[in-house]
Amino acid sequence: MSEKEIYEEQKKLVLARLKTINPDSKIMLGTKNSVSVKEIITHVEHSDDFGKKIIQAQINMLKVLTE
Amino acid sequence: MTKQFLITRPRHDKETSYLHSFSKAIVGIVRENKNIHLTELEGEKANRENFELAMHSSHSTLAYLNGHGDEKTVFGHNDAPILDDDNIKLAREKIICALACSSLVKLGPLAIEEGAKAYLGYRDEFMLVGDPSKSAVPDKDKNAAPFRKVCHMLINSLVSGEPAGEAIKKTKAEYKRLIRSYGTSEDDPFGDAPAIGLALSWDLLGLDMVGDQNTTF
Repeated sequence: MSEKEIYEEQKKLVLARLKTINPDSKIMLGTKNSVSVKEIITHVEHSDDFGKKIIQAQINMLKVLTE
Repeated sequence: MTKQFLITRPRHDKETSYLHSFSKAIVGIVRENKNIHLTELEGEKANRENFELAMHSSHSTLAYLNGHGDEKTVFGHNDAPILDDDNIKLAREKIICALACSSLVKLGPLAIEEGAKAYLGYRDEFMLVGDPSKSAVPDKDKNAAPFRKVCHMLINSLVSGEPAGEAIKKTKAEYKRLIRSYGTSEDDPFGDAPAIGLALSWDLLGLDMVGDQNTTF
């Protein structure tokens, strides 16, 4: 499996998990912004920098859960 | 040598009010410790002038900076810079622990170049999940409890004299324990637990240090 394919699989997995969370839950960021789960999903769908970091964090969470 | 614990605690907006709340316990602990001199720069006292004055101290210093940050700066009251490349020389021979966004990226390594013993902080933004109905009283916000716990564990570990590398290791282990606790809350799909798990995982990835892992306060 190529790196791109792995990324796309991770993205699908993360989106599936994020869609189980209350979309109105908000996360505070230190840079004076709050972001809702709904907005996080959009970032991940668009694969922007923030979305890619969210994928890393969610995959990291899954690794911790299975350790 | 007398030890000095220097803490900056601005609270001019929602985010800094949470950090201010998180650091309440460590201030209480240090205040009771007769071997440590406490210099607390709270609210509007968390400004550059007061900070620089305290950092000129010859005492062995652990500086715990709470506030907004970016890759090159930690900010104090009203987001005025208190530590940046213009005064980073003051970090020489000191341990810096920054609960601020991203400052480990550039300011941390610069501090080490200028002779700081260690710089502990975050490589990315610091995330936390609060209960919107409790944002005016962060002390009572149960959603923020896990973030309070990890922040306290890191600084308390340093204050207790544990090596910087060990403080990071212990805190990362606590992050993982909390992720296991919040990340599997499948019975809480419409609560905030899964978002808390995600934010904890994000913060875990960002926490790190540069400098001497074996240095102690």
